[in-house]
Amino acid sequence: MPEIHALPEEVVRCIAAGEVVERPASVVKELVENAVDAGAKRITLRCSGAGSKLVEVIDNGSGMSPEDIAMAHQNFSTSKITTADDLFRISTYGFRGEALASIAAVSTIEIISSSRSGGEGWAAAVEGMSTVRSSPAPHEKGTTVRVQNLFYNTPARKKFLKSDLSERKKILETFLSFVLVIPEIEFHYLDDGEHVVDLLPAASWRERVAAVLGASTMKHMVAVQSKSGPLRIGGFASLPTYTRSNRANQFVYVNRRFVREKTISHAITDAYRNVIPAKRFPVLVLAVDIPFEEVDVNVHPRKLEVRIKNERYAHEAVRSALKSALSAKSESEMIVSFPGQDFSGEGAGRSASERAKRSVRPQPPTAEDEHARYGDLKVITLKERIKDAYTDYMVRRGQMDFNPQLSLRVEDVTRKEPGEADDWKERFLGEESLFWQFNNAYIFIQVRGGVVIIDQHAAHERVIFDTCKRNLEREVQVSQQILFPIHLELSLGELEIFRSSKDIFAKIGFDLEPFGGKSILVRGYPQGLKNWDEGKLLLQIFDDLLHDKAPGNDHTEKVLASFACRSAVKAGKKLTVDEMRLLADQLFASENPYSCPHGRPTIQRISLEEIERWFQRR
Amino acid sequence: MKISLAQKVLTKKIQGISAVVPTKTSLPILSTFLMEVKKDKVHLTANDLDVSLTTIVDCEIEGEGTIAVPGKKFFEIARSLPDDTVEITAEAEKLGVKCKRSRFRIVGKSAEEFPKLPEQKPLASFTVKTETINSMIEKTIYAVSNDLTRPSLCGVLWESKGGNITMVATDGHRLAKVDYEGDFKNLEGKEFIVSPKALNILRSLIDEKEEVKISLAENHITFDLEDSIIYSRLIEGPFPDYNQVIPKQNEKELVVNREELTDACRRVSILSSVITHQVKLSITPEVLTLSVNTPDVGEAVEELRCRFKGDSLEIGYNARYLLDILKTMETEEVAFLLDRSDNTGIVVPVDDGEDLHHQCLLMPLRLSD
Repeated sequence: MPEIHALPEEVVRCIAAGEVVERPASVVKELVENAVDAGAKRITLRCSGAGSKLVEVIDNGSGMSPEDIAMAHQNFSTSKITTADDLFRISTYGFRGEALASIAAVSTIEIISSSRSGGEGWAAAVEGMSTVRSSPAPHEKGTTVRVQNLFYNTPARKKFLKSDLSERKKILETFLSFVLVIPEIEFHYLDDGEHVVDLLPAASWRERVAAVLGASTMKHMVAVQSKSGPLRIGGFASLPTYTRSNRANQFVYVNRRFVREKTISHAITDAYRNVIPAKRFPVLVLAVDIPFEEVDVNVHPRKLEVRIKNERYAHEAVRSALKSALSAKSESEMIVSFPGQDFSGEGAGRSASERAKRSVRPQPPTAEDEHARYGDLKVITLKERIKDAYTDYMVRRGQMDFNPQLSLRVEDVTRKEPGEADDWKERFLGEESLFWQFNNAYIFIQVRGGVVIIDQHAAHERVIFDTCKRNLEREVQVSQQILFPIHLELSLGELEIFRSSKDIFAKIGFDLEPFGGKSILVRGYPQGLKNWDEGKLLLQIFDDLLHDKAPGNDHTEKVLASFACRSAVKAGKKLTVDEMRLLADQLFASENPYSCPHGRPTIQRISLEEIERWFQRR
Repeated sequence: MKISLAQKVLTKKIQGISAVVPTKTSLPILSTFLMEVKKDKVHLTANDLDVSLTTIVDCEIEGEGTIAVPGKKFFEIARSLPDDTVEITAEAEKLGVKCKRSRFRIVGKSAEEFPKLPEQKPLASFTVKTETINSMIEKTIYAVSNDLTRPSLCGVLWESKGGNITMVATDGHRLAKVDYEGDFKNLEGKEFIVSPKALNILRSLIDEKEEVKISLAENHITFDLEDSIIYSRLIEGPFPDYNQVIPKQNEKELVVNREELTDACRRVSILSSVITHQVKLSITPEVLTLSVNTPDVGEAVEELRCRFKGDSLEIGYNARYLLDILKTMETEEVAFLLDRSDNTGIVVPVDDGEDLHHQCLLMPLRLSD
């Protein structure tokens, strides 16, 4: 008897189902996709027993005829594509024709659908692979798919389901991934009869995103919108000051398909590098639109992965779109539309007008629509609020005009003339100030509508890092020569670091030269340098680089980051009011004021409302 | 004990010693000052453990005694009293203050708690004219370092050779040196570093005095101005060998009017970077051009007449350092002795005084292009 034989069809289908239907959330995904593809304007999801007892999706889409219903659960039967060529122009969510068949293989399915208004529909119940019952049934135009007893015939899979709680979470997350990106559809979700999501069609994408993420989160989000070659990128990204401990709040879409795509996630990580702490993740809703022929969605049965033709280009486009949205400049414009759909290739994707009608994918609102609705409404972002308040305060106090000669210097108590300026009253009673240093580490600044708190070390680190980077670009280097050159003995490792980085050190403003053997001579260092400590600073930087302790994309950035960290004013250092003011000014002038190069935050703000709430005045 | 004196005198004397009372201290006793009534004089002493200042007041006295008085409270009371005679009494650790119809009782501390000055045998004593010492301090103290990681640079070095006294201060970027030709034989070969705080206090007190008597001991120095005595702990050395870094071959000499240069430098530096304070000197035989170019801020240029021997030269300096030096010079013209643009420059007054010789070293900023 031959050892190798063809598997019976039930087994094949169960194996295939394993790829598509992993858990109840997969069922939700397939059914909701079908509903959207059917042009539904309202989609209702009902689950019970965390999806293992029941997953039901009710839509008011185009519906199916009795013949279609009979075909629907057959493997590779679909209305969405006809020829292999269509595979490269996929504009609908589904196309493989596997979903219903796969679900049917591991559950009991009931489909009730009507393609006409008037309430006459047809119902079909499928168990295993065969239709067990088929009869007329009342149904409004649209389709209801009821999936029961999931995995009843694959006990192993059933055993691997996680706790009800985590399955529920997964279902909700899957459902929300649609809710977030299709604002014009009304969504409902009932879990064991309890209303979890009830959302009417939203007036704008922004409104929908705010409804899902919450208005308080939305306050920390900036709009992302950019067009780069054939790529359109749109969405909302949280400011570096607002992060989460996991990626659960990152929703990335390629052509409005929720994906886990490596190129884009990597681009996101890159965009936030150096500005958020390690192991923190931004909240993000990001839609990337790529012409259909530039992307292959037929990679993964659940279509979670897609393949982008020009990965490097896409990476750079996403990274720079996020970067520019996060930098101060483009923040004021909070009105966002979906990236447009008017790719030249799209028309070809819907060759037959018939299909065009069937694959009624909701058209995203265009930028014009959004603009017409919102006009030039500006939403003021966190940074602007801080900056605004600060400028306002400066103007009010008439202090825009302070001494330009200030720099961060150690308070020079030794040079005060006793008796004169050093009046006892001033010494003891202190002067009123809007700047106040707490614990010799945090600067509190009274601004309009609240208090801004600055971490002096992190802030100074950011200022030094940015200044050096800018000076490097401009090739401006100022080195203060020193009277007593310093001789430093290095270890072999440190010597290697010195050799490989001496150009960068020279560009920062160090004047270093080899001095025979393993030693170097320091003839100058950057003007205004703190913590020099007879060269210990340089040894600390070498040490950071040797043990790869500095953050950064490349060696230059690492050198700068280490230099910034080591030479920044330390926590515990008393600052004068002028020093605090200068630091605040420099920080606000920085392009990236929210965090130090290590990613720790530099600024926090407490609003007056918040304080009033503490004291129950609101 | 009981003393009486005018409110104005009392206020002035306390204000005088207030510079020494630390504003913040972990040792509460240091926020007091010591009031000692001895024979026919009252001694008021403030001490911050590095510097101690005693001021001696003539007044009417009945009985002797000592008490540590809370500095801030007592000063506030003294200055707010009417302009009349103030009567102060001390009993146990309570201080009584009476003036016209005002009465105060202040809780003081035991004089025993107040830090005592160590008794050390003076190694050498000498007397200097206050005018000279004032000028020497002024010409050096600005260059004292505030980098606490090199404590020896945080003071002014005094040394004596061949009967002269030399004071030197440096922060590693500039160095100020002044020699006084005198006859201080008993100081020969001595080297010590004095804290700038003590020197500043000295300067504030010497205006009406002719001479100051200075006593040097192993670890401290005392300045005696008759009615005030400053005691200061010496800073531990060694001071770096500064003679080694004074260039010997700077042959390019630039001579320029001091006031014109000061004004020009002050003006162009308005636009200099708040971090580097960089100003560029472009030197040609007859014209000195000062320029500042700070991206995002602006540019400034100023031209001055000058005399220069040597090939044209461009040098960058920290404008604040340059102004600090010019401020301490009094002559009409100053001379810069230069070599290359990345080498130490020497600044000296032209036609200096007879017995004081003043010299400054200034390290350039290496120019970016």
